[in-house]
Order: sequence, then structure tokens, then C-alpha cells
Amino acid sequence: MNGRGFDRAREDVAAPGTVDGEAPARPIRLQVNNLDFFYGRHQALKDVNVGFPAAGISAIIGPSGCGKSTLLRAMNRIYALYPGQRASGEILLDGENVLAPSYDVGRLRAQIGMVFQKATPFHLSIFENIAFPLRHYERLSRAQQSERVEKALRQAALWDEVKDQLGRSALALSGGQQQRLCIARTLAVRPEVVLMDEPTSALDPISTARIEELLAQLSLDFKVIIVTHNLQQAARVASHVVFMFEGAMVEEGSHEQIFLSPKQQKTSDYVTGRFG
Amino acid sequence: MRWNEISRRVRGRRVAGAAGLSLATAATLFGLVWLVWILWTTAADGAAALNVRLFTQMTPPPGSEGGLLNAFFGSFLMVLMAVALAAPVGLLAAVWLAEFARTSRLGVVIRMINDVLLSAPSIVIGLFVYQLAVRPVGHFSGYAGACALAVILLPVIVRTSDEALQLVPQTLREAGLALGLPHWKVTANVLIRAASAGIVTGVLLGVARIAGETAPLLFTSLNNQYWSANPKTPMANVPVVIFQYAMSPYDTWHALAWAGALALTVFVLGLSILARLFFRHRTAR
Repeated sequence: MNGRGFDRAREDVAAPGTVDGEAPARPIRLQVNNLDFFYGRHQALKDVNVGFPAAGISAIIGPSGCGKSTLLRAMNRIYALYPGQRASGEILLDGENVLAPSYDVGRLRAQIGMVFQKATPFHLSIFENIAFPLRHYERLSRAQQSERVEKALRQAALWDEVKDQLGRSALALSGGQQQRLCIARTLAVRPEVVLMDEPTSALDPISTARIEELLAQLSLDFKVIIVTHNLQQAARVASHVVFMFEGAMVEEGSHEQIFLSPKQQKTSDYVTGRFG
Repeated sequence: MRWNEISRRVRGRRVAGAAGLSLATAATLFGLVWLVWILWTTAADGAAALNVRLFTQMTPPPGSEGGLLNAFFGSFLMVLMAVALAAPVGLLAAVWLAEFARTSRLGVVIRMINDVLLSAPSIVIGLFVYQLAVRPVGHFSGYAGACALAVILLPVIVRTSDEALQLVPQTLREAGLALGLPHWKVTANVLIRAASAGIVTGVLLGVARIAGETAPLLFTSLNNQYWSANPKTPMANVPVVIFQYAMSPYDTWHALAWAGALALTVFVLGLSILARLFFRHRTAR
């Protein structure tokens, strides 16, 4: 853990496009401008504009189908796997538009990692699950690999449980352990931003609690953006909250603003449980 | 609706249900009878001709005793060569279809052509390879036999591997790509591994299919009464030996044909069971 997330955050304080209105001095790491997103003819995101602060955990909340996962999936261009899906607008990472075709998608995904709703361990050993993607980026000796694998597993709070069985198949782990392995795998390639798409919705309460503790730890080193349909979870973990509804960004702001004094009626209705 | 009308309708449905079930059961039994009959005849006549000479001696001239060693070896070698030819090509084609042309028009067309090839009469494939690999050379050969078997095996492997890859959860594909790995690397290291149970099962079932093919070998490898480990020459093989010996007027040859049929049946059955066990073992985790 070298805290480079923080270092970098302090470097580019004067990022453009901060939140309008009062006192938003927080530096912006990821800025979304005029983002439209289409699944074929269906428009899932409508002119979304939002900035994500460089530090801490941002949560994207909203009812099912509001486009929160779509927004996340636009950030690392994972949607490009599907021919019918396209995005227009800009997503600026440190000032550079990652949606531009000239922005190398491999480089983008190394910078912006992603953890999915369902744990997705590869059919490899626990060690190889982390070492295989690592070797794609760096030439490492066996010893260096072991070191990095251990570090990633420690960061994901999984090391103590698996340190004696690194050669075992990752598929033999429990659901919560598999999800932490996927987090470790994402962290090992040292991204700047970690996207999490409802990472605990398939887990039991105890595993969920472990991952939430872990999130707080991770946010010291990485920018974390989490999509969750669980309001309590957003309230527990996030310092910055984005509320989306029907493909549009309705309101964003600090944890306190969204949950205690929302400006929009829709936000207020949602966070007080009147719909969704 | 009146109660007695409801009960009349229910009774009608019961009768129709019972009649349907009886018909379905009868049809199943009808199909099974033939299968059991075939297996029983093969097992009974084959077992009577079974002995150690079968696996230690060559095919005999009429009237004398012998075994099927050269035929077993020829079949083994040609099937092995066919797998070596068809498996890599088939797997690569399946990777292209499933990963890079899943929904493209060209992919759909090629998948359809592959299905046509899958059901092509094997005798046509035999003739095709005869034209290509036997006539220009001037004589039958084990290589030509292996080529014919490979052409039959190829579409089986393409189809099963394509389906196995398509069954890999999309989330696994996304997880690999989200790490910034190129698609080919995700395919080679993650997806093929996840689909390996289906792929290997497909190859095993394909081998079971070609092990008993006779028609394409009649045109290509033909037969050889003597020991031959040289694929440049005609090679003995179990299906053609069964064919020739069963058609002959000699009792000793008839017995050998039955023994060969039994050995082939047991091999194919064993392979099918192996494929199932393997698939269950690999997908159970």
C-alpha cells in the first residue's frame, strides 16, 4: 500500500467541472459529461453529468432500471463487448476522455478495475487467479509474483484464510471468499479507480459486512465507485452519493446532503423509502 | 359451471392423460426392444468368439485361426491421427465462432454449413477423400483413412466446442476483459478452461462416432490382412474387417466379425460413459 491514490488526488486539485453551487472544493477524478447510452434503440442514460471526487467512496443509488449499472459499465467500456450498445458524450479520467476510440481499452481497464455482482473466479488456482492477469502487465519473477499475490490478498482481507492453500482451485472457496478473491485480483493490477456493481447483493449478511469493512480500507488507496440498490449500504459506506432515476442523474452530493437534506423531491421520496 | 360437468371434464382429461402415457411408454419400449436385441446378439455371439488370440494374432486366411490385432492397431492409429488433425482445427474454429463471430452473419452462415457437414453421409465423405488422397497417390492408405475420419470428426468438435464456449457465463468473459486482458488471452486462459468439460466430452463422443465408421474407410484405408504400422500403406481396421468377414462364407471369419463387433461396442459404450463421468466430475464443482 503506497497510498498513491491520495498522492495523485492531491496533485490535480484543479480538475474541471466541479459540482455547481456551494463549496465543492473536492478535486474531481472522474468527470462524466453529457453522457447518453443506448441499448440498441433504447436510451438508458440521458445526458448524465456528474463528477466523482478523487478520494473516498462514491455510491450510485436508484431504483431498478434507473441506469446506475449502465453508468458504471460505460466507465470501463465493458459494454463494447456487445455490438448493439453504444455511448456518446465524455467520461474524463484525469482530464482525458476514455470514451474516445483512441483511448486504449486495455490501458483504460488497467486504470479502472471492476468487481461484479456475482463472483467470477477463473477456473484456476487461487494464486493463478491473481498472478495470471498480473503477468499480462508486468514481467515478474516467481518470488515477485508471490509477493504481489500476497499483498493483493491482504488488501482484500483474504490472506489469512487462504495462505496455506494457494494452489487450490478458486472454485472451492465460499461465495464471500470468491468475491474477495475477485477484489484482490482487481487490486493486484493497481488500478486508480475500482468500480463495484452491487458487489454484495449475492452474499449473506456476514460476508456483506466483511466486504463493507474492506471497502473502507480500500478507499484509502483507491477511488471506489459502488452501485448498490441497498440504501443502508450506501448510507454506511459512501461519502459521496449519486441518485439516478429513469436514466437521468437527479442529484449528487455528500452523504449528508443526499440523506439528510436532499434538494430534489424525487431524492427525498427515494431515500425516505416512498418508492423504489 | 355445474359440479357434475366439472367432474366429467376431469374424467375426460384423466382418460386422455392415461392414453397418452400408455402410447408414450409403448413407443419407448418399442425402441428399447431393438436396442436390447442388438446388444444381446452382439454380446452373446461376440462373447462366444472372445479369446486371447483376438488381441495377439493377425487376421487369418480363411479356415485357420487368428485374431484382430492388426485391425485394432490400425483403427487406433487412424482415430488418433484423425483427432490430432480435427481437434486443433475444430477448437480454433469454435473459438472464432463463439468468441469473435457469435452474432455476425458470417458466423451464422458458417455454423449452418457446419451443421450440414455434421449430417453429411459418411460415404460421401469417403468418396471425397478417395478423390483427393487415394486416386492421386494410386493406392489406399492409412493417412487417407485418417483424413476421412477427421473430416467426419471436425464438425462434431466445432459444434460441441462452440456450444460449450457459448455456455460459459457472460460474467466470466466480462471479468476477464474488465482486467484489461485482450479477448484472445481471456479466451485461451479462462474461457476454454471453463468450457473444457464440454469440449473434452465433445471430442470423446466424436471419437466414439468415428471409431465405428465403415463407409469412409472402405474408400480410403481399405484393409490389410497383415500387420502394418505404416500409414502410407493400406491399414486394417475393425469396421471394415467386420464388414468383410461378416459377408464371407467362412464360420471362423463370422466368429471374428462378432468378436470385433463386441469389442467395438464395448469401446464406444465405455467412451460414452467416460465422457459422461468426466463431464459430471468437471462441472460438479
